[in-house]
Amino acid sequence: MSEEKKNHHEDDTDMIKLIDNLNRKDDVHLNRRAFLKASFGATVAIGLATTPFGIFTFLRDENGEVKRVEVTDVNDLAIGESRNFNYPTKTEPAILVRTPEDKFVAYNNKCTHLQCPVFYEHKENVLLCPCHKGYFNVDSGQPMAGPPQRELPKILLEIKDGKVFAVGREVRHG
Amino acid sequence: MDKKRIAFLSIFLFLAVNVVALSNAIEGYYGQEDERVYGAVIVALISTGLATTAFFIWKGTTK
Repeated sequence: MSEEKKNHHEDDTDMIKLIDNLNRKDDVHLNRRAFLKASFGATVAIGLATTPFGIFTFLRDENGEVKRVEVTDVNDLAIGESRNFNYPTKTEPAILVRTPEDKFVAYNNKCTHLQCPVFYEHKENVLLCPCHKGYFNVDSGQPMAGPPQRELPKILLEIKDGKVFAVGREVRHG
Repeated sequence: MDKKRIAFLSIFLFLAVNVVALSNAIEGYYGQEDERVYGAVIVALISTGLATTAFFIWKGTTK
């Protein structure tokens, strides 16, 4: 009788040890329900994280008034020549080119690879970024060769009374 | 598939949608592509709303 009681007592001790071995905290916190709650929280956080970008874009549009800036006289720039100017702000360089087809085109004068200035190469009729040999099509501003993957932002021009005016800018075009 | 399981799985779908939308919003913002930013924000907000609905459906069916 006493031996049976002793065995029973040992069984109880084993069970207590088994329960003690369970990490109860993990069991409570790392389960299916907690995982879904964390995923839902991440979904909401990431979803709401997009809104500041929308707000700042809207504010940027509000402030971004289209400026009209005189660049040069038509007669001051010969066919196949280029001229640097700043547009839309005084710190943003741009390049105006009079192409061999007697067309005026202008782009932001920053290579879309690493922001080096681009130069007009009259012989090849291309815009060249000498830093890493990036070539852009002078008629469209699209990259032709080298590391740049995106087009040069296009400056919209207007020719009136023998003068060339910059009237706007398209970052993505074509 | 029961309602609870659909709600459970849809939250992960909306999570993926929001990740893509955030990526588009960032790219659009720095690339100055306004339409892309607005599109991404609208998609993300709708997706977040649907995820919230799905979460409460799941919670309501959980004992």
